[in-house]
Amino acid sequence: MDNANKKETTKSMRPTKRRLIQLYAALLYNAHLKGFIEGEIYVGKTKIACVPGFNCYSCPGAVGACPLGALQNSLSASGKTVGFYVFGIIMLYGLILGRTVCGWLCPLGLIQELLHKIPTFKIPKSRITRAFSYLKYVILAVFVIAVPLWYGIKHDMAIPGFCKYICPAGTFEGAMALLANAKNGSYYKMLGILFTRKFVIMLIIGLLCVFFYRGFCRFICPLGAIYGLFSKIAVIGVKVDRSRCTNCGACVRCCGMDVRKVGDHECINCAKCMDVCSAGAISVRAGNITLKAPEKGCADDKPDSPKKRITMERVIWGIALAVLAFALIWFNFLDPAGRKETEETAPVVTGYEEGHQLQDFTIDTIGGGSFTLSEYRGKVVYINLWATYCGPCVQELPYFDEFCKAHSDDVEVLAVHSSVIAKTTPEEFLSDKTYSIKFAADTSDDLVWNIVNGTSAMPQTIVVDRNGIVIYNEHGSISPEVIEALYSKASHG
Amino acid sequence: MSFVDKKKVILAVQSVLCILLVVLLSITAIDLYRTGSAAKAADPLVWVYTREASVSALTSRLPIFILAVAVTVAAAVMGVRGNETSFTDAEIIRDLAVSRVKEPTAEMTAERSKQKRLHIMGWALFGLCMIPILLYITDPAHFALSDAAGLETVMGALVRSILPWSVIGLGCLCVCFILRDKSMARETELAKNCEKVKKSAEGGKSDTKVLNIIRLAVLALSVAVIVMGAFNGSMMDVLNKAIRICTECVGLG
Repeated sequence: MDNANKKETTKSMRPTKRRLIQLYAALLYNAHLKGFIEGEIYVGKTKIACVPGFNCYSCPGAVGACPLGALQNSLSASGKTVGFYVFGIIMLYGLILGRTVCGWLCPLGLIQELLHKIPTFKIPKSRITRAFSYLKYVILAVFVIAVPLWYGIKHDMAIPGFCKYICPAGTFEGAMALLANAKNGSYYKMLGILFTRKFVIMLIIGLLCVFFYRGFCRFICPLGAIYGLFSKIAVIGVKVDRSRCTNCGACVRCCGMDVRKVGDHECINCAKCMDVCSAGAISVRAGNITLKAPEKGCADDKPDSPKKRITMERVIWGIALAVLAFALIWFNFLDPAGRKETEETAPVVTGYEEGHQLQDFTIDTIGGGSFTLSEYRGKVVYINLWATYCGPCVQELPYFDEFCKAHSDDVEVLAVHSSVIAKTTPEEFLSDKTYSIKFAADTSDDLVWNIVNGTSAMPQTIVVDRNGIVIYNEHGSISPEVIEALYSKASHG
Repeated sequence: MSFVDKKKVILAVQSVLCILLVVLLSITAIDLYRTGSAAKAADPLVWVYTREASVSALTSRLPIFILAVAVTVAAAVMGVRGNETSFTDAEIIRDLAVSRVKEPTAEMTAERSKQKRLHIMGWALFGLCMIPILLYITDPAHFALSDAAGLETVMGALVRSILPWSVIGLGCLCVCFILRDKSMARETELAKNCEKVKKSAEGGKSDTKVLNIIRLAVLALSVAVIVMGAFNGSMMDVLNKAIRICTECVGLG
């Protein structure tokens, strides 16, 4: 390899501004770095805001909500309330940024681009890939809209179809990041066919991205499909000066996405085409303001002096880095939400593990009366932590009900709703149901949750034997077979 | 061996390694699941996956992973990169050729109408294939949780119903695109043999006024909708969901 080639390679390996911004966004979305060490997700108020890019909110580092996950949950709750907030946020991001989010602010986009850097043969875009780029709209219609909507309205269940069956970000950032932490060893108990399937899907999508430039983004991503709908009106984006354009097609040729023309619904506004446009017709604009001008300069622009431009860039980077530094310090050291979690979980360490005597408690039950644990000595007690907005929780309630009916003399089941008040209150949820099990809503200071070491992962089931000793305390869905097996264990163990 | 040959060898080796790694990891996961499921069938309290078994299985795949990383590093040092994606769009070449033509010939006009027909046909076929999907997803009966297997069965049936139609629809679109490309290539050839004119710059600016009105309307709508969301509780719903791990949503179970 000659020197010129080497120089070119070294230059091409240097991170571009876009790459730095992608890294910046990924770090800012996941500023709760101590979550990776502690194996816990962030539970502060900033999660009320959706981030623009694809970033799972069950990632231990995430400090904001995933717009796609929030959208599916809003659609799931359509029977009770309209998810105006999420629709508005997505519309706002679409209007301001459009698919610029995909090109510059999406952590999953960054991962895909890095995977594509693995030196293998690459499959170039073609008419076939262009046709398959419409697959994401089918996925959007079926898994993001139809499935959550139907199950939300008809069955009162939150089934985020895309998250549950496809999303590789959830598997990688959520499941894998949580499982990688030794403190979450008990999560392994939950793993089964769902994990196997999602793990394999994640690997296949990863492989797709190695061979196809942004394979997930082009063929699967429903968030990109939504933002693509705003491409014509998005304020920030790559714009073409038609009076300068020579129709040479160099822009479309160099683009890795399945674009028909610059700025269409497939264009992620990465501005790579600016470098190959010999006419200097392409620029990045925010309305009438030019954010990045071609080297030749647009006819209607007054180009800034290089010194002024460099100063401006430095100021912007300085502010951005200050924001990032503040976010890192705040989310990892100062935020009361993070500290509260550590302080509160510490004293609960005793009394909830297998073999421990569970601390006694009394809680008011829904529909009147109260439940005192010690009153049920001599019976096997199942405590189930649930919430109306948790699909798997709702799904397994009938199992407990059936089981309770079958062993009514020897078993007591208490389903404790999270203290986080959902739009559908447990009372509303139970109004048209005839369950024989006891229900309670946890107190505002999380009485039961603290006693049994309830975490942010739901559902959770705790089984206490006839002597008040914990024989099971696990997160995740539970099958009727396991419920029955635990009963046998309590009876014979 | 020349640099080009070395590059090809490295790219081939790395391609094989990547596929092999994914296949082996998938087999490992499936194998762990099958072994664990068999044990769980005998005793429901046994875990399907265990940390020890997973670590041990993954460790056996480590040499291939290390090899793949080593090849990537070696390729980076040698300056070997995957071949860049490049696609010459027939439509752009045609537009470029046609823009220089003084008067389109009858053959060119015929080719252009053929392209239009193919374009409409492609989308019509795609649309037709979407009808069964639309009918499927709008029928509540398909989402009823009546049998014992519940959601898994419903979702399996959903995928089996929509996947073939999606593939057929996209396949039709693809075939029409290819045929349209061929027609465009023919039109381009015809255009090259026509009398040329000097290209004049396109004058008209896009109607930014209308665009700005639409933008303002969307902005006002989205702000209004966000405010409504803050009052109707959907804002708090986002927080409630985001601060709790939905184990099924991330694939834990």
